[in-house]
Order: sequence, then C-alpha cells, then structure tokens
Amino acid sequence: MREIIKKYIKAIVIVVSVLMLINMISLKLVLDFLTQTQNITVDKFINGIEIKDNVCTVNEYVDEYCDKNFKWYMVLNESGEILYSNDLPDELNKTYTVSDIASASKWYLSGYSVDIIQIPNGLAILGNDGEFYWKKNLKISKNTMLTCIIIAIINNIITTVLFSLLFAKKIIIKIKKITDGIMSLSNGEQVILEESGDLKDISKALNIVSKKLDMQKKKIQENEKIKKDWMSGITHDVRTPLAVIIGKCEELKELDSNKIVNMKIKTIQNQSFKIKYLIDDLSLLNNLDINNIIIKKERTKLDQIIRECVADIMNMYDDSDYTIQLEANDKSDELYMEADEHLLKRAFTNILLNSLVHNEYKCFINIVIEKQEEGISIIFVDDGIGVDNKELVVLNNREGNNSSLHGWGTIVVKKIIELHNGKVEFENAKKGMKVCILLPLR
Amino acid sequence: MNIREYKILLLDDESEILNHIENGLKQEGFYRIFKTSTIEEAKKTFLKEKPHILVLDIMLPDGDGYELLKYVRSSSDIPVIFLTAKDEDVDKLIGLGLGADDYITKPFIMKELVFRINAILRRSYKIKLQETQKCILGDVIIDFSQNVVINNDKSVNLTAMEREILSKLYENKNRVLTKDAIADAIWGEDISGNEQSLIMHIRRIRNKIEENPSEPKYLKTIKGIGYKLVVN
Repeated sequence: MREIIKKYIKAIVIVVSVLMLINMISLKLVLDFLTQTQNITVDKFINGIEIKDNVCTVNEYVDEYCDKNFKWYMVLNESGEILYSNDLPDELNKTYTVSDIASASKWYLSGYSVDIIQIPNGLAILGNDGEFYWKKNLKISKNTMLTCIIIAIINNIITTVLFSLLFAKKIIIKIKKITDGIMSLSNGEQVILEESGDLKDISKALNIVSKKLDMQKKKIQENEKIKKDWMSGITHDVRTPLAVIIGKCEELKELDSNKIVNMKIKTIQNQSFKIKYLIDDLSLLNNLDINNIIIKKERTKLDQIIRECVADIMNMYDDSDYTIQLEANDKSDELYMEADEHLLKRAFTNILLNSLVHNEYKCFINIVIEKQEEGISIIFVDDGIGVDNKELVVLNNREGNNSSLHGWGTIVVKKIIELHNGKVEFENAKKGMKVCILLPLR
Repeated sequence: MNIREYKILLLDDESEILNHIENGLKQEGFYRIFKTSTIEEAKKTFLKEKPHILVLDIMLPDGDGYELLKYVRSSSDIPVIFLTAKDEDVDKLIGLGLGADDYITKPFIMKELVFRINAILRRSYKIKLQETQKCILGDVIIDFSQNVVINNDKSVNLTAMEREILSKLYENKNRVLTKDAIADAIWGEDISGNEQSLIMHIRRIRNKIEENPSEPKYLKTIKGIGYKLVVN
C-alpha cells in the first residue's frame, strides 16, 4: 500500500514541477521574442527622425507608426524643448526638465502611458491612454532573485506533496476498506461493506461474493448433517434386527446339541457379527470424516489396552482353534503415550478380527510391542492365508477413501492411526499377513 | 441376599430383544426380571418395584434412555447399563459422563451382557463371593469361606493374596482376565513392577490346585495377556 502512495506522490510532484518548468521556459521565450520584435521596430523608428540645427523632420514611416500605435507624440531636443508634436494634449505643451523625463520614464506622464525613445540629439516621447501599459517597478539583486526562485521551487514541491498526500489519504481509506474486505473473505469470514461512494460497485460485488460463500458453507454443513443422520439411522435400523438374529441363534444353540446344526448356527452368528463390525466401521468412518468425533487424548498404556482387546476377543469367541499372544519388553512402563483409548482399541480390535475372520478363526497371531527411537512399534503377524499383493498396494495406498473390497476395517485402522500421527503398513509375512504400526510419542 | 435375587428392570422397544435378555438372565438363575417397552412404563415399574439395576435401550418410541436415566438419578444411585445402537451414543456416554455404569453395543452376545450385569451388581452392592461358595475343579475343592484348598482330603491353606487372586479369577471364570486387571484388583496398581510377583503367586496357586502344575488344566496362562480359570 505504502509503495503505491509513494509512487503516486512522486508522480504528482514530477508533473507539477515539469509544468512549472514548461511555464517558466515558455514565459522566457515569449518575453525574449517580444523584446526582439520590439527592438527591430525601435531601430526603424529612430532612423525615421532627424534633428538638425534644432529643426526636426519626421518621415512617413514614423507618422504612420505613431498614428497606428499611439495617441500623440512629440520630439524634444536636448534642452527639453518641443521641436515637433502631433495631437499633443494641451497640458503637455511645455518645456521638460530632466526630472520630468526621469519621472516619465519610470511612471506616467500626466496620467498617460508613454514610450520614451532616444534619438540622436533628442528624445521621442510617444503617448497612450493611462491604462494602456501596466507598469510595476521591480528592483532586485541577482542573489535575492535566485534565493526567491529556489524558495519558490521548494514551496511548490512541499505544497504539491502535502496536497497529494491529503488526496491520497482519502482514496486510500476507501481502497483499504475494499482490500480489508477481500482479506477477510480469504480468511473465510463474512464481509458486509457499505455500498456507497465511488467504489460502491466493487463493494456491492464483494458483498455478493461473501453472501454466496456463506450460503455454500451452510449448505455443505447441512449436507454433512443430513449424511450423518442418514448414516446413523441406517446403522441403528440394521443393528436391531441383527440383535434379534443373534439372540435367536443363541437360543437355538441351547435347544439342539446336534453338532452339525450347531456349526451352522455358529456360522449364521459369525456372519451376523461380520455385519455388525461392518456397521461399526462405516459408522466410525462417517464420524471421523466429518471430524465430529471427540478425540480425547489421555495417558494410555499401550500394552495394557492391547491385552484388553485380546481378552475381549477371546471372551467373545471360543478360543479353541486360535491363539493370540503378546510379547512386550520388560520395561513395560515405557509404553505410555497420549492417545484416545477408545479409538486405539477399535483399531487394534479391527486388526485382530481381520486376521481371525479371514482365517476362519483358526490361526496364530503374535503381537510384538516395543519402544523404539521414533516411537512405539506394534507389529501384528498372523500365520494365515495372507493378502493378495494387489490388495496390499491398495491397502497401503496413500488415499484413504477406497471404495474397493473389504478395506473398511483397515481404512478405519489407517484413519485412527493417522489421527495419532502414526504410520501403518500392511505386508505379507513369510506365511500370513503382517501389520506394522508406529506411533510417535509426542 | 443372593445375587440371583436382585431385581433387574429391562427397557427396549423390541420385544424379541426383551425376551432374549430375559431368557439369558433366567438361565443364569436370575428370576426377578421386569420387562418394559416405553419410558412411561419403565418409570412406573421403577417406582413400584424398586429394581437394583437397569438395562436400558436408548432409542424409544416416547423419548430416549438418557431421559429415564435423569429421572432415575434424581432419586437413586442404582447402576444402569445402556444398550447402544449408534456410535454417537457411545461418544455421548463416554464424553459427557452421563452417569451410566456401562454400555454394550447391539448386537451383543448374551453371555457378555450377563457377565457385565453380574460384575456391576457385585461392584455396586459390594457382594462378596458367598461365604459358602465352593469351587470344584475335578478332584480339588476350593473353599472360599475357609480359605483352603481340599485335595483328596488333604487341606492346604491359601494366603490372603492367593485367595484374592483365585476369587477374582473365579468371578471371571471361563473368561480371560488380563494381568493388568488382576494387578489392579489385588494391588490397586499397574502390572509394571508387579509381574514377577504375580507370576510367583500363580505358580504357588497352581502347586496347590493342579494335578500337574507345569501343565495346568484349570488355571491357564494366556501368554502375554493374562490368565483364565477353566471351570466346568
């Protein structure tokens, strides 16, 4: 902003100075020209008058010239006596003294403007009406003149600068309102400018833009709320019948101890739980996306929460065919970090269930947790069927929003680990799948 | 009073679920179970029957479970378990500390709900293991009232620690109990620093109750996780 003001003032000062300079030069040139023309005429005039033996003769040129340009004229000899005159007013018919002449050359002669021209042996005085010439006496030393000129120049510059500053200020106040409005807009704030003054069209336009942006924001929020409510509704509506299915399965298991039938019932139950986990994951993803979920970070002991996840799973699912074990280094009091316990447990449970579900609940899962330099490392390895290499690429893909396959559970894991500023990678182990998590301590 | 005699009030607008829970509880031996399907009904039953524990659904035709919780809390401290069907319900419960004692998400496994009801009743009403309670593990009988283990007519005393650990395991019988939970119950601390101590106590208990202590049949180790008391 300041740069623009400086440039503006500089420009004005330059323009005004140049203007002044041009005027002064023009004036000098005009004056020079006028003086020169005058000199030529005077020479011709002098040649047309002759004084010999106290008698004056005047030629036609002089007559014409004086007729054209003057009211009267007279020719004096060196003693001040009139030798010749034309149309001379009565009061001027006298002999002139030296002081008369001096006064006439400086000012007026009896109220008439006069031109006094020196001729050999005499003086020609040409007269006009009083107000013909405008005479002012200026006597000034060269130094004083120079000083005056310099002061005048400086004054001019200062005045120009001051006035241009004044005008600039007025404009800047108006422009600043606009630029401030634009900056606010870029910060996402609402902007309401006064629609008046010279820049009212721009103000109006900005107000319209601000309103539009605001409406868009509201619309997006509305849409997100609708989406969220819709999702909530669906998950709720699905869970209730699922609960009924699972309940009935449990009753059936009690009724019939037929092993084959029981296996089938178990399958129905497991599949129903699969649906439950899917709903859980979708619901969580939905909430995480909208950033609505309250993430509370507290001091959490990681090995403890992993143990709780494992115990919960083992207590839910008959653990006869699978094994989950945890290896933690001895100094388990180093495995603390600031984390959201609820979310981390979701992530770990998802990883474990993923292995179990894909391997028909028949596999061995080993978990290793240890503190490293970069943070706490947790590695889950199962000895099951592993993962397709193509799928691995997709799972490890930077973009979290895959609409592909059964990535839901793992997408939840990625999102949760990311929320804790951690990294997660899926690999194929020698046999089975490996999930490597690194959680930074800070 | 026997824990089985405690009164349980259920509230859910889905009758199938009410029946399912009632059956599960009956199997456990509970017999004073009250089923309701609306908040109004629940309020009336609460006033009339004075239950010891509430199991509430959240979304109901005439309001939500939180309403009933507030109503109950204005006059009573009885434990409340919520049956949740939405993630945000859980967030609300955790984040706002509404005074619920526990929650379980639908769909759930009955034995899980039953276990939690038991655990909360025990905790809230400080019901100790019945003095006359005995635990039978094959040929071995653990008598909690006498703090002894009876093995083939030979009686071995249990130390206070051993009894605590065993009764905690028995409360959670057939379930995996994390070593953190045991440490918390016994010492009120983290497991860090208490690992060796716990391992030693477990070894001693096994010596007293197992036929072959190095190949335990009843007190199983879940490597890295915790322990489980297997009771038939």
